[in-house]
Amino acid sequence: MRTLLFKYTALLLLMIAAHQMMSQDAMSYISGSLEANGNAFIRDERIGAANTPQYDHQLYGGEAWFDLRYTNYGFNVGLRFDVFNNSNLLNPLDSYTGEGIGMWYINKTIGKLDVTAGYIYDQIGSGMMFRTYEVRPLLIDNALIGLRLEYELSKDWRIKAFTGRQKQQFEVYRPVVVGGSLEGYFSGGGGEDGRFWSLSPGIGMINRTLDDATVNELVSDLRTYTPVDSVGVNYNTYAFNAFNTLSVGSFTWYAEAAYKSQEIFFDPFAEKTNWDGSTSSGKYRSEDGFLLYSSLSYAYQGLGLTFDYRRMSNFEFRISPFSQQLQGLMSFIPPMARQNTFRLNARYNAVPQFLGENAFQLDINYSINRKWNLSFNGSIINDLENNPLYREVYADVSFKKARKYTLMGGMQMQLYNQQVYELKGDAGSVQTITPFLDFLYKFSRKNSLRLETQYMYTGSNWTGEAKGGGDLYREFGDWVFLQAEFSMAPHWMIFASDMYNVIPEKTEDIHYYSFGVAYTKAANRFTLSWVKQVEGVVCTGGVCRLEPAFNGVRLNVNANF
Amino acid sequence: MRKKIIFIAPLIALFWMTSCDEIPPDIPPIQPPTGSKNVVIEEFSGVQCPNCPVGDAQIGNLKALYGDRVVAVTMHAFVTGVLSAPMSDSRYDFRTDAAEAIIKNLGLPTGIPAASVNRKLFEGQPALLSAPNQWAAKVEEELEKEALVGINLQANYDPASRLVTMDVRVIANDDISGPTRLHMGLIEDGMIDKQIDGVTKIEAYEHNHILRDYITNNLGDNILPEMDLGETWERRYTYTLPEEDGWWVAENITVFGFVSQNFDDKKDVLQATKTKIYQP
Repeated sequence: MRTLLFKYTALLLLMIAAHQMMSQDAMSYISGSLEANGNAFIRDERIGAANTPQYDHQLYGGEAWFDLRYTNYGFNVGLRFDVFNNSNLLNPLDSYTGEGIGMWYINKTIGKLDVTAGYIYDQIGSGMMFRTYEVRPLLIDNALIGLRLEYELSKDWRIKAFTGRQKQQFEVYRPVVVGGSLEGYFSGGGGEDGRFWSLSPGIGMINRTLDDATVNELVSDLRTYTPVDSVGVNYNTYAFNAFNTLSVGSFTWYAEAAYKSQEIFFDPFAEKTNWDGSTSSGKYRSEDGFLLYSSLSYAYQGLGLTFDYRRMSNFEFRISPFSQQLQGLMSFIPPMARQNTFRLNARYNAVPQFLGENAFQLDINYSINRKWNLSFNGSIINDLENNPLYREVYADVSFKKARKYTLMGGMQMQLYNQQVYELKGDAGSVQTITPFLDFLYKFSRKNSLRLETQYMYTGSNWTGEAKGGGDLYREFGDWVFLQAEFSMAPHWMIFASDMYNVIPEKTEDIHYYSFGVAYTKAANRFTLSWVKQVEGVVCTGGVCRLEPAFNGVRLNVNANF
Repeated sequence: MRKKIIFIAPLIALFWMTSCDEIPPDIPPIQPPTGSKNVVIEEFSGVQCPNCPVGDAQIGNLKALYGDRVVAVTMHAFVTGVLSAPMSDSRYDFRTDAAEAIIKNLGLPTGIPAASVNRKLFEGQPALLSAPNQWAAKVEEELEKEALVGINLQANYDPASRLVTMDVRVIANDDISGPTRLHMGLIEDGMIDKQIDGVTKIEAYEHNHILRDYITNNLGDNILPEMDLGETWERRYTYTLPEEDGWWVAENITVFGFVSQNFDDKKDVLQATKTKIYQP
């Protein structure tokens, strides 16, 4: 019934849009985008690209999102059609097929009141307590389906409230979410522009109410617990936060504190006593949680400096205690480490530890002049008992010769506690040293060549925290990566890369190569590539997810209008 | 403006704070189930899967609470990749072709451990396989039901020839309006080998109810197109155990059997049972 309602609503929106376009109203405009991915799966048992329905018999799979936005008479309407055919995004081991209206909304500002009905993407503060968002490559789309009201109290103050249920592909989760925030802005002081300082304070609140079916299911599970592990269940969980951005001259300081009331959540590390007297890992706990985050930035002339600190405890906030991995997330808590883009530098990621983490990060960027630029980043992430989880030291220097070439080189060093991040019991901490080089050479205004290379040494013991090989771990061993991109602006780009396990610890001698071509015409981009990608395991929330190797052909189409 | 804020902020706080009291649900102790239906838990696991001992422990708890009404079959499939693959120093490779066929037939999970309970798609559930914290509710629900069929399973083991002879008899307790299937296999307890448990590697982990082989077709043998109340169906199966080599220990082996429906796009298990093949 709900699907039918969505389809009719969608149709209605399209009809309104078409009607308004035909009326050629000067105030109306329509925009949109298309993103489509197609995969042809080609078995390669050597790298583990096999044994899923796509490799066994489906052979092809893909997904697409077609987004339409229309504005007229003060109304904003949006509609997105999603298609998943034999897609492996939802579950890399299985195939997911479905299609329908993935998102729609109607928005209207009535005086000082802004009303949105439909799918709501929003956040409170930095989003670490509450955020609804979409990450297509991971098939995260946790929009609320409901109603959002925002009222402009004054030019600088806004209050908002919303309620809804979180979407789950084309269905909805049963628990209900209610929330709101009050945000404002002050400024004052002297200075030439009359704004010497400013404050952007805010407070927010969220309530999630579990439904009877979810609670009954929880109760059934808790009834199997021995008395020593017995915990109670609450229908309601509340979260509150307060946040502020203070800007004074070249300094900007953001601070946020969030508190989550007692709720039941699954802790994969907690010791559970079984009825036969044995113990095992993983059980439900019922506790409150908190999160503190602060970021101090300084920017003056060519120097940019940011220092971040975050501490959190029991801050796993999901729509349902049964949600796992990337499903049902209610908050957005990013890693407290550099977001690396080079292939090998990005191999090990400091996934946020919602149940307990204490993290620092320093980022410095300095442009000496138009030619030279220096960057530095350092991260220290520990658990709440100060055991090291992640360390990263990153530095690069780049030199740019105008209209001719840009050369960038640097080094990254990491300590990555794979035991904790991936729950790999036989693993230790991976230590890496990864030098890298990036060279862009412009043959002419149109033609350019970009070369990128990294070499990852593992087990280098640079931190001194894993001497003697006790928990030193090389995982796959050393890797080398090389990529070349030749661009013929404005239309063509061809690229090729190879990732090679130089000193393999786990697998046989395999080259993970990719090559392809991209064509851009106006707002359309087409990419066709052959990809061979190494497998990995990701464990979160008590369940492990195998991110399988990929071997095959990929076609991506992007268009905007 | 500040007056507005001063007025509104406490009102919002009051709204939230007054609604903080709730009557929590009661968590009563487990009562003996009243139904006659047993449950089969088909669990997919892996020796390199850090969370999989959680699944074993949950099965142990359910067996402790419900006894032989719970038939557990733990399977290791190839499709779950490195999680189920043996370690370099593992003694055994628990993966079987039957597990591979069954996991693909039931629908691949997002992660392991995952299990189906009586192969039933429960209300509000997106898939047959679910995580350990969702098994108890399903087991409890199924144990309260009456079984539509009865199964009588007798096993006779000859130590000299290592031949197992199994006689199975299925009786319809009601009219069954479509085809049904019989699934029979062998599981082994007490297999000591490596296992990853959380962040620890356990050298001597006791692996129980491990699927060794299927006696029927991996996806079951056809019984009858339909059955009337009181109608019976019988068949004899034989299986010769391979040579004992640390595993295939006769006294640790149990034969299980269950009947599933094969119509209305459902695979629901109608009744399950198990019996030891040998008690010296």
